[in-house]
Amino acid sequence: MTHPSDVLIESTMPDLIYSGKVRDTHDAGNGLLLMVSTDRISAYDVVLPNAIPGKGAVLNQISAFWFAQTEHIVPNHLVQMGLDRATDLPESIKRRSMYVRKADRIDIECVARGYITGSALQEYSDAGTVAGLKIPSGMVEGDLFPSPIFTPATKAEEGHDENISVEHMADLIGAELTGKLQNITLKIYDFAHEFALNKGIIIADTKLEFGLIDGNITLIDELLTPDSSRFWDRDGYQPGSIQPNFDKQFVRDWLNSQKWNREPPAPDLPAEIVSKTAVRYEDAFVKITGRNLK
Amino acid sequence: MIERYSRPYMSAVWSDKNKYDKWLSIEIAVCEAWAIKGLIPDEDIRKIREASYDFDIFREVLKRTKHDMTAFLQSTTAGLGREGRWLHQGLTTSDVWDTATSLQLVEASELLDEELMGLENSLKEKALMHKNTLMIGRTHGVHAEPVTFGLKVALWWDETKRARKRLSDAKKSVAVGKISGPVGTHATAPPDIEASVCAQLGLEPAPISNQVIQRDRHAHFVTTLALIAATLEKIATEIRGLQRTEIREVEEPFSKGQTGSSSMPHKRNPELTERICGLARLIRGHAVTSMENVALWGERDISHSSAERLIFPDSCLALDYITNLLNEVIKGLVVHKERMLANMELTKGLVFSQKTMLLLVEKGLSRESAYEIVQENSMKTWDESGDFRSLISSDQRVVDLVTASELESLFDYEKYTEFVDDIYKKAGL
Repeated sequence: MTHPSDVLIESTMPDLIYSGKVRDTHDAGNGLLLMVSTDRISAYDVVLPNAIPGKGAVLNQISAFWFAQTEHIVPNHLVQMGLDRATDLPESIKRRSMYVRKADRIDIECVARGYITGSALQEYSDAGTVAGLKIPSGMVEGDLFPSPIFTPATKAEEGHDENISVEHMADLIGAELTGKLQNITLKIYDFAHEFALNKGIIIADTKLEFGLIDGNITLIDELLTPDSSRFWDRDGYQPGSIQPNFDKQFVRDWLNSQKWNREPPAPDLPAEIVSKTAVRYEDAFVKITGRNLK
Repeated sequence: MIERYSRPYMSAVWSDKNKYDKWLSIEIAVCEAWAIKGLIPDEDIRKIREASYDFDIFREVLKRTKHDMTAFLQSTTAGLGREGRWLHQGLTTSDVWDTATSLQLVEASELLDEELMGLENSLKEKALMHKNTLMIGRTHGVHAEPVTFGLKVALWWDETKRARKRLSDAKKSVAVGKISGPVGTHATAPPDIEASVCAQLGLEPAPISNQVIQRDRHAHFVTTLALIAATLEKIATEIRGLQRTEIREVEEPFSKGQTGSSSMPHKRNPELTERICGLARLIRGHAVTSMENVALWGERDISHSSAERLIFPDSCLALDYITNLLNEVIKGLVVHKERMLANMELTKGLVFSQKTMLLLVEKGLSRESAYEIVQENSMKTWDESGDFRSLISSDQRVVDLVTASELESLFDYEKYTEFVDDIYKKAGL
């Protein structure tokens, strides 16, 4: 378990080229990037003032785990883990970072959904379809789709990404690339869903990002982490109501009890919520990978 | 069908209104076909396309003539001028009636498939969630060896997929029309009229007909519904069995405020699955009737018609109702994992008898001697109070052959579920 004092809110490494909600990315020279997952946490699209000790390490190492597990489906950008660099990284960065190859990012979020929830449920309630596909009538929050579906979205710099149709995606990046990305996304989801389900975790949906390296489709960014996916507890799964989120539920429940208007700044989290959440993140890591967090 | 077991969309398919709407669209399609052949002039067909029937006139004429088709035609031509004379040109009642019934059966099977699709999906959901949920498998009602609840549900899922395939075949069987006149000779309406009408309606023309579309097709449809109902009944029966108080491994959903018994306040009965079993019996009865309807006299008699007015709507309504109900049961099914484990322990290790016997054979014993040793200890477990594991581990004949750690690894429930992943893959889950 990560010691409460081991918190990384901002990466301290030089040559910062991009800072997202959770990750800080640095130019590492030689065509490489150093991607640092901090312990920042966001809820309802707002970054919270507190950080969750060890969360960045979980995200970093769970991504690495999945990169290795999915190499047979598609190559990825991971070159070396920060942990495998003996000398030149501070301890707090080591376990939260990886060196990756630079790629030309494809500006589409590739989302695979196995269960109906969120914006897919909204579309289903309004139109009876999801991404234009025929699905059984009478489905309720959290129900399984007959087969997983692909719902791309455009990347938004701020706030929510916008769902687009597969046809629209083909207009933006070409039909051939769209077909390939759809295929790879669903293959990875199928594989990961089955893998995690056997470990007691339902991956309800996930968002993948791809880039091109030397013209080859390459998986970039993070992979199948609690931040890029909805993780549910298999044993507590009960369609018909909102499924408890595996990791952020304590945070969300507490925030909901605070009458916060979901606009920044968010209120400070109590220490108990922070530590409970830290434990949940590590639990997810151990459950899925069967390993201890480094 | 009584209202209690009727759902609105399926009721609409079998409503009088839908039947007469179908009749009208067939009559118009026939006129279109005659117009293409040049019999009906352009200005007439344009008016006929706008034709409608008047329900009040219909009821009045029906009272007098006792003939649906005459009443329907009079109520339609009442709103038309001279062009009304083209309606029903060259047709006999069955041309319209049978073809309309086909359209209704096709609509009904589409609704049924939707419900089955929902059920299939809910079963898949439960099969995935309970892939590794251990429980005892029972043959003859007696504990056999461990299985998982997911395997049981996956089996149902697979059967439901077959049910959908059967329904799709049965739908093809009845998706035929006929416009061939009173004895099927096309004497007053040539085959190209039939071809054009069927193409307009999305049906196949019956290759040969007499006065009617042959009833083996309808029997195929109703018996298929009965077979699908049998699958639902099988699932429902198993749930009822597993809900018996002494077993209580699963329970169908029981909503707050629901009453189990008027006299015993504690009751939580499997009444939904019992209802499914009851209505499956009803559909099965209709299947017999549908087969008796196949044999008609000569080019047709009308003995089938009265029965069909009941069995077509009722089979479809009942199946629609119980498929939806079973889907609700599966979705809300309460699974008591702890009861499943506790029940498995009831026989004190006896479930490991076969694995023990196989180990003894591997160690060089003949099958007969191994069987004898294991059976002897098993009977002691049944008849006296003891547990199989301690009895077998203290049997000198076993101790001589098997090490303690070999025995230890034998008594592991997980060993029985080693190939569950492979079975799921094989089944396509």
